Amino acid sequence: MEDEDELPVNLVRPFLGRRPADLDTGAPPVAPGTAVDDVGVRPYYLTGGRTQSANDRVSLETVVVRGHAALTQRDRFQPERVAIVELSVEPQSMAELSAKLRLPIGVICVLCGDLAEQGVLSVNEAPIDIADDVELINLLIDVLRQL
Amino acid sequence: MLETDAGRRIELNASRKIIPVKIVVAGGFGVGKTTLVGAISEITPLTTEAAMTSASIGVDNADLVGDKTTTTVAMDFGRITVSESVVLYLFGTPGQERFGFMWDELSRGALGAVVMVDSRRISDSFAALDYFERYDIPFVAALNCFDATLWHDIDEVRAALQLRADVPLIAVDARNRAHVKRLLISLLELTRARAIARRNAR
Repeated sequence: MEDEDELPVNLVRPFLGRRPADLDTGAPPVAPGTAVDDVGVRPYYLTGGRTQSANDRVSLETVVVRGHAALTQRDRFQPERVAIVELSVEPQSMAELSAKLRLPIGVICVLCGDLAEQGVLSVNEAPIDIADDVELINLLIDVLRQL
Repeated sequence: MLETDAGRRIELNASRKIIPVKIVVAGGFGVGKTTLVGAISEITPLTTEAAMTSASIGVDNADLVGDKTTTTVAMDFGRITVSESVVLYLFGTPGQERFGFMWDELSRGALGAVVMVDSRRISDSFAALDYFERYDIPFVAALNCFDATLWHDIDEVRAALQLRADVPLIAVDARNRAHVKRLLISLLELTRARAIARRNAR
């Protein structure tokens, strides 16, 4: 893998401002400045208008996995929540869920905060003083050397 | 899943407590952030987005009052599974100064940052350099050599960037995995030195 010259391919393209159908056809996003009223469901409808997660430590790199509880009867009718729970069989970060489900990161954080409160997901985050953990930094350096 | 050169496969274990850590890759538009992330990530870089209304950006512009335009900030990121319980994310951040608030969210708990520099557009990296200096986040500056060409003398670039003496400036080809590896190791060595200094000060 050393000295590989290939550029990354199949980058997932930005998705906001597209109708779901455009995502399949690969149509370009709408021009910047286009009013969002013109383009499909507003993502924050899914969160009941909330932009802050119930758990304020939920961040881009926070990883969730399936928890002990099942989705509530009501949440089973929300495809986005169902999709989050299905993907979380494998550990997933907020950023990965956002990219895979094509939802803004803020929406994912709110939905995951709710699901964590209910025990449907369990939340994994780094301790605040992670940059002081010399042993962890040594592990990272060792693993990078082996790549 | 990560496969090392030694053929070792590493996968996160969902039944263990997982520690997600991150490194921020900052720099101006088109400087090669996504290329750098892609050179070392075990997954093809993904894009995540945050949507913001113009009001939340804090731009003081009367023309925008009552207007419903939405600005999108896109971030590309990659992943390296370090062990059964540790995963490293690399986040490429938009370099425009007006999105600086996003760096707060990104930098909270970050192990450090890489600031990418294009020596032909040096001022594009100033916002990121200022930010990481001001908040005392360990960082290295990476001079991206497009097409393996160093356009300017590295010492001249260093002078133009006004880097502190303890900040490494490293010439890299962002496509080259070995270069990116060395760059990240330099950054983590800096982070480690700071951690040890803080521990000894206690």
